[in-house]
Amino acid sequence: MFSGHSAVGRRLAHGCSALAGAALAASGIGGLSGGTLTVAHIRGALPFTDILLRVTEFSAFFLLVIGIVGLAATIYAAGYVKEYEGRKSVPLLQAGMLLFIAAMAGVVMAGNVFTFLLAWEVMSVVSYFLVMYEHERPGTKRAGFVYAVMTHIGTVFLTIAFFILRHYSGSFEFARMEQASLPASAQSLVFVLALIGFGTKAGLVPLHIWLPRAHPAAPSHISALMSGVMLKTAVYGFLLFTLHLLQPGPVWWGVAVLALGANTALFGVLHALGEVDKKRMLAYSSIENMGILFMGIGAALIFLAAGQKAAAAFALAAVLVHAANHALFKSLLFMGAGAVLKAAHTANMNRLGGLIRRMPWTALFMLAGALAMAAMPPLNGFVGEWRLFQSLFALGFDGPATLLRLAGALAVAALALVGALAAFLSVRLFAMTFLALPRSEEAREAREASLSMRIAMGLLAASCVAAGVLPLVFAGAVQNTLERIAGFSGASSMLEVSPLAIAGADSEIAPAAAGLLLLCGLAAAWALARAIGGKTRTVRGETWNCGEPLEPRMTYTASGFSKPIRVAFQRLLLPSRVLYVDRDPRTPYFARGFTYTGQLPALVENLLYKPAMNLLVAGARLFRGIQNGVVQSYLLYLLATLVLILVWRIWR
Amino acid sequence: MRDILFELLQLVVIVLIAPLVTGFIKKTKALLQGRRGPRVLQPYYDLYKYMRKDAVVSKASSWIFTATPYVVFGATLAAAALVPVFMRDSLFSFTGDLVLLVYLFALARFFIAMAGVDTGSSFGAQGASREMFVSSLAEPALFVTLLAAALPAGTTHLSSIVAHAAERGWPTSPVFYMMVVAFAILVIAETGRIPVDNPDTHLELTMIHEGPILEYSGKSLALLQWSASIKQVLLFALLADLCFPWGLAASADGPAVLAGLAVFAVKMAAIGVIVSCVEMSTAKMRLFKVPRLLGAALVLSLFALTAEYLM
Repeated sequence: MFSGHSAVGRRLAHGCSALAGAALAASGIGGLSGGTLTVAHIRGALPFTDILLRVTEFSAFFLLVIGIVGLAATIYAAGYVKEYEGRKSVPLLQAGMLLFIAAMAGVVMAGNVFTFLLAWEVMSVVSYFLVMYEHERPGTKRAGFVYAVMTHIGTVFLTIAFFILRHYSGSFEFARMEQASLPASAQSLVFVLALIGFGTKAGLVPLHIWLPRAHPAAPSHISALMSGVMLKTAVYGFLLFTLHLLQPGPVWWGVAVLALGANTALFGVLHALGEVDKKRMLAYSSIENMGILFMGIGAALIFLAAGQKAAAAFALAAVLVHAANHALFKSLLFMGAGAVLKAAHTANMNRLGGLIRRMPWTALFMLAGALAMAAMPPLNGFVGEWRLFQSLFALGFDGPATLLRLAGALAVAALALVGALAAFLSVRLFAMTFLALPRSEEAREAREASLSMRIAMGLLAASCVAAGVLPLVFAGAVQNTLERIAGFSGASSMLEVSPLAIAGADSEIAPAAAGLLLLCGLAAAWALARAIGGKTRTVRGETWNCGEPLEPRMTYTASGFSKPIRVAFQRLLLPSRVLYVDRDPRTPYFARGFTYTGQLPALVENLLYKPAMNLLVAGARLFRGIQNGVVQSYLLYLLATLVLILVWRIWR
Repeated sequence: MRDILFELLQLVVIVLIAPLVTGFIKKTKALLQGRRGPRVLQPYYDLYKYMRKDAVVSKASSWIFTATPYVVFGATLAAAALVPVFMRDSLFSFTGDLVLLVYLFALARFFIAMAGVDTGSSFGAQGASREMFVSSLAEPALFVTLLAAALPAGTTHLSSIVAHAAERGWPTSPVFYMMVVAFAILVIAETGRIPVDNPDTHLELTMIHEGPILEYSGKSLALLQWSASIKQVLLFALLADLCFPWGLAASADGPAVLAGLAVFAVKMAAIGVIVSCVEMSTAKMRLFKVPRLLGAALVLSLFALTAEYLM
């Protein structure tokens, strides 16, 4: 299908990809309405197990998200891949993208362990190849390597967790595993294994090191899929374990997840503010959002442990809504970043600026994405953030114990700090790319993105607005999802608590009303100004610059914009800064030029991974003497082992 | 119907008296410094004059710059519809809470910061950067203080908090006053007053909020200054609501509302005088000392919360 180089063949291929995405979204919507639907059950696919794909309300919610973002990505790809035509194999990229989407859908549809792990591995391996697509670019191979290593470490933990569950339930099927009861110690062991396994995929600090490398290295629509959707499969998997396969656990589960989430969110947003590469910055922001999601899961687990099911359901609703919203706005922002990258050939925000005039549509869609990322009402980011705040407030109001309430208060503070820094980040992202003057030749000559890319971004931007103004559309889906989750089924009366109700008061939040209010305010501002001041003229003039003409190099850069954060958090971030002054040899007073480089050191790598690696290498060196390449000595080892075993047997 | 009319009146009152509060603080400060100072009504004359002037807009700027004053005024107006000022209910109390209120202010700040960058002026971008920086650090303290204030009522719904607190009587515990001090610090930071920001100057050493709006003129400038005044009144009212919620009209009938208005005027005057005294007696802080002040507010409110939990 992809082999033809004719334009018709290409269009046909793109059209089919988009259709596949749309079909996925439709099946998600379909799945939300009904009970469990078995899609495929291949008995005896392998000697020991079946392949089982099914759609539950729980997986349908994630399927819907995969479908919407997948649809947008396939449309976007039609324009974006032109970049690679002639120098790379576009059909391979397209096929990889479709396989990647299919694998993600497979993860959420899997009905038994084998299917899950198969889909999980296909997802990881295909995304590894997609990350490596531009392997000739510096850093890409390293990124791919770190990604492959980390993702496989994660899978190892998951596999062990599944085998422990298999031991107690006697089955590889999720439906049977749910009914098994495990001893408390085994439960906690499985929980920790799942947390590490899925935490690696989700990018929880300190397991995140692959994420800021791999996500930016991939082509932009793949980055959008990875950040927007693939991370959500980790949320799905973790929820599958903690709510579905395991019984409600002790309180420390929730506290651990809450603390880990808060730590991850803060780390992510602070590092995002230190990045000048737009795609790396967005990748760090994804880490932040995963942290926020795990904070919500932590709150839900604490409530579950204390038997406060209504509060737990509320927190879980927050998690699901924010997961969907993050998928929408983050993939939009990655696509926007890709459009800018394609137009200006750089992702370095210090070399961008002023693009709003050259790329008005991209700018408009990115503004929607940035507002959503900053959780501004009435966009969708606000709805999720608002619910998370309410859940954490609820933990602070009537958490099960005094210390847990205090933990709730600290979590509120952490979420508020992260939220405000995310707003800072969004302003920086948009303003440094699109506003003021272009700071490089490439940015001055940027061209607007192609039609298909604009359609894809427009679709996502419209979804961001719609999911913000009409959150009840989502709320229905969330309700169905929650009913499906074990521990909530049968207790549907507490789900009558509207997901938008303000706790403790008989009123609800209505972002639509807030949006309407804003529009009224806008109209009132215009009318007031007109009524009081009458008609006035607007003259175009120069920006005041102390009498000098304004030049692009005088405008603020992304590095400078977030400098206060680097200074205020220097104890935490340990930023490095090198200023090279090129002085005129004739006079010490005047400099000819300055070169400034500043960066944040990779603390986790330096403090955790490097020592661990050194230890591993040193350990290997210890044993190197044994492997000397002489066949005789290997035979001696065999003999010695044999003798030892014999002696041991006789001893017994 | 009567309720809605009175709630609408509340909104109108906030919008109309906002410049008066600004003028009142300026006058009080001048008197304390031994100057005569401008008339109390001067802000109204200023606004009227700006409104009638032609505007100069930078060639480097985009539609973001033009749209910002309207978005800011709209968001501030929406916030004004949420805060109970002289009666317990507000126009939009059926759909909003403290979190929405904070995020409406954040929306206004978001656009001001972008407009500051949009002109290409370093002043604007520097101010924008500082504005986002200070607000980032103020937010955690603000939310914890709001949690402490909302704790007795167990809700973030403003009218419910006010109603609950008004029936509780005068609080005697020192915990309460810790919260009040924390909240007062935050109100000063959010309204851009000394020692965090200086509203009277845009010198690059000291300015925060005045930087991003430096390039504005005409109607746009009027709207932005008016919004700043409204935001100030709202924050003062919030301080009064959460800390001293007495005297708000419980129902929408004439005498109660009149009494509520009188109490409101007294509260605003009291807060205005206190703010003037603080501005008089302290110096502007270095930017990188501001985090300590805000950190103190955070610690105070955390203390207040812990004590509240233990008691």
